[in-house]
Amino acid sequence: MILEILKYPHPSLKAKAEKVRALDDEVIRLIDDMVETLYASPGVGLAAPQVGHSLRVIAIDVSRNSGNSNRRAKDPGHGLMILINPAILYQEGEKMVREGCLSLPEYTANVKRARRVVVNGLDRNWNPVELTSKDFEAVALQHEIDHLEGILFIERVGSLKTDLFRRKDMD
Amino acid sequence: MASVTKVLYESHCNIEDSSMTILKGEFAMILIVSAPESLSLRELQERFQEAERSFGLFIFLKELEEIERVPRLSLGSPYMLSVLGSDKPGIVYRVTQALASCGINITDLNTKTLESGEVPVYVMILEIEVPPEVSPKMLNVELKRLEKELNIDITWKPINSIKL
Repeated sequence: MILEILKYPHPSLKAKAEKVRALDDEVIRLIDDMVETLYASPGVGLAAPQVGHSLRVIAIDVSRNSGNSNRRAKDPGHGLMILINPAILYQEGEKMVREGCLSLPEYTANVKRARRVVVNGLDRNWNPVELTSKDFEAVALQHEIDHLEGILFIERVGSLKTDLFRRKDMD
Repeated sequence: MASVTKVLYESHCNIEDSSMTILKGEFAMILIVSAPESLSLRELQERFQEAERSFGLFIFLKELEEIERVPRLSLGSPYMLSVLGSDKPGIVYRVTQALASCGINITDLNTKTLESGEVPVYVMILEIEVPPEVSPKMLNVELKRLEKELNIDITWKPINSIKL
């Protein structure tokens, strides 16, 4: 089922999400719905709080076309990634990226992110995973994990004057 | 700043958008405010007199036609362009003219003169939208020509954007 993507100032977006305790039917259904919702959206990542579930689940797929249309071959990263209770173990480098968020549509902003991250968590079958990610996918991971903490990309912006933009790539 | 916003607050005006800057100690602020129907432009102007006198401000009010609220449609791919060179007349004009002649839209522009060494260095950073019909090659040729002619360095790169 395609879920509604909540927009700020919905309280779900500002709450710290709960750890998932067990892979029960509710969580399995949530994951299926999040994947469906992600693929029905113009975005490459989704966090459970964005669809009204205050749980630590994220879905990312940067192999989907995103951002500039004239980019050269993109790094597909790990393809579709479901992470339950994800945590960033390590990060390095710095990268300024123009981010947009489905929960704050119409705007994009320059956000400083780590270039490479190592994250762990559980996959959709409740198996522990640890993976290294870089560039676009690493940015997506940081953005979605921020959602689990109730942090929006706009809160990581240095200057509204120089770093915030009306979305230029409207769909 | 507080002297201006105090008047706006007390006049029940809502600040919809604002930007301020300081250039060499000169302060400037531009605001878009919505005012109550009952408040005339002249009345609001009068309420600023005190602030104008005390702080040496010039406050200019202008009534806006219906504000364009619909987000602008995409005009192309965003690029960041930086221009660096020794300060000389015409850098801004020639670069913006070259972009305009290619049909490229400028969405942001900032300039600064850096007085660090013996020769002041002029820096200009622009954000542009390159429409699909403009070939990056053609733009490159144009910019390379300008680099030579004005003895400046121009670099430009696509802005990475990600939808999440």
